[in-house]
Amino acid sequence: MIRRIWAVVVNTFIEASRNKAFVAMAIIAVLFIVSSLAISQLSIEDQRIRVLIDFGLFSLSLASNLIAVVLGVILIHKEVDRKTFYLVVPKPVRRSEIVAGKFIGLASVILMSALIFIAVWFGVLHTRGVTINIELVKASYLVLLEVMVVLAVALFFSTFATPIISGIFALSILVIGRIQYILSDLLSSPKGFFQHYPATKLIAKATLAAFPDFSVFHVSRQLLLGINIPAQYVLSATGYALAWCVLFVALGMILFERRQFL
Amino acid sequence: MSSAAAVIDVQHLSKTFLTPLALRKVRAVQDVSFRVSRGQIFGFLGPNGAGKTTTIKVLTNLIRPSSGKVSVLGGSPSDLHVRLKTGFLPEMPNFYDYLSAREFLDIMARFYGLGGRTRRKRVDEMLELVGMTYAAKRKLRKFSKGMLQRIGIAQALIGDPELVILDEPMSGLDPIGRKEVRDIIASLKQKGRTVFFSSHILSDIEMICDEVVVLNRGRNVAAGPLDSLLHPGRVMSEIVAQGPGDVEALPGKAVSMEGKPGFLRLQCSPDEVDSTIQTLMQRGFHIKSVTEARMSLEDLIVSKAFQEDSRDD
Repeated sequence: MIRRIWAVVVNTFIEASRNKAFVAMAIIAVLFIVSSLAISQLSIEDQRIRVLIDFGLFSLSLASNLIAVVLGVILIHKEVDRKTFYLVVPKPVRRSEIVAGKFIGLASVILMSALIFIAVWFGVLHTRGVTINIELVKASYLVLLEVMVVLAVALFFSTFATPIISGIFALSILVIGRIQYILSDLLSSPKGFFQHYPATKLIAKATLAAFPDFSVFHVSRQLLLGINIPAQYVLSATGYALAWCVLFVALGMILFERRQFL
Repeated sequence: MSSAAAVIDVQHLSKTFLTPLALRKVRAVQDVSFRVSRGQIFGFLGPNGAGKTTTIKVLTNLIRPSSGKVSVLGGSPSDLHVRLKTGFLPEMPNFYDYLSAREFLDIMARFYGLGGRTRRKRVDEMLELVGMTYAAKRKLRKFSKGMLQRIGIAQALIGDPELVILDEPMSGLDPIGRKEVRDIIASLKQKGRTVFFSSHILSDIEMICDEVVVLNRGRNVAAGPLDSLLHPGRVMSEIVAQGPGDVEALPGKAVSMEGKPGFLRLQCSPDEVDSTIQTLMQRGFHIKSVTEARMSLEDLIVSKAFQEDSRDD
């Protein structure tokens, strides 16, 4: 099974890394981080480091999530549309293994580009006299967990929808996931809309449960305030991301297993 | 032939598609049955839209049948062990054009569990077999249609399969390429492999197939060994005559020859040759030639398709 999945991983890795959109986005991401040097100069003296860190995490998240959505939504659909799957599906490989291989292959490419990005970013911070500590590494790691969940969501939609529909759905889930904490705050507030209309509470709670909460993966505020991120938090965030990845990839596998190649 | 001995056993296969928005059903294949024996070269024939590719997609796990039984190498087309022993070339395949020929075959070989050195050796053998060694490092996007078809055949054979299913393997090939593919198919038979292939090029089928099944409008219209389908009893005589007479008034099916004014061609059974010649001569025609015309596969398909169409009407 490992060899069969590995065959798909190798193919996906080569495909994604040679994709012009990926290369363009990776270059833009690096330029983004280098330009943060200029942007930080516009802020007041004691805020410059803060801007560099905040801007760096934002850029890492934006670039990696965009790559995950853009490449993720076309991953399965393109092969169905171009009928290249006619060469793979009849091979001795399970369809679920194809989906798993696609996810791992693209995740590897995104991680590789993110590592290059992080190396450039840390280099920029170092030249500005910032000590690269474990908290920065943890914050970057958490962003990458978010990107993996976004990739799983994009892959899931790609198994049955067109790239445009998949892209809209994946980005919608990302936005909903990012603002979940607002909904959560409103729900726990003693006054407000939900307390005034208790029936809507159920819908709000269902929404919270149905979508991943991406705010879990953003700790830039703690980082800037100098609050350490507990290892326990990182571990539970890893479990949370893993659970959502497994759920979306498994749903994608089920749909792909039932698919007919007309 | 028992079902156990059959490499492919299709019984009462039907496949119905729903059109977009499920407004109506399209029956692509209806009650198709045939068996392919081990070591045979089996031809799958029929005009466009006959249901050949749909049947092949069922055999290769790309689609599921609506009804009927399909057995490949004694199992279901979805079984991994069945697919491990089956090679497949789809019709007009699209390739991963960002890969080189060697990279592509290497990835395809990985699905068969071939490790490092064995895989490289197998890839080299396949490139050699299809005459593509010289272009091994070239990206597939730079390949011509004929070159891609050869790589398609190479990937179908990369796992050294017991059964090879080829959908229009001669498509896009020049006469030399077609001969090379025929030679590859013949060599597979010599190695005891079974080859199931569809083709529009009937002469290729006539040259190498042991048995054929003919589909039209999703139904079986003829099946069996080529010799029995193109039986000597079906041999026709063709008479070419010249004269001023009226073609319409002649017995049988006489046609004027294009580009040769006054010439006509007429087909009849060998028993009717003497009486037909007499009739023609009485009407002022001169007999130019009398030849025996063996029924071709093309004639068979056209006549079967015609019979089916008239039955439907």
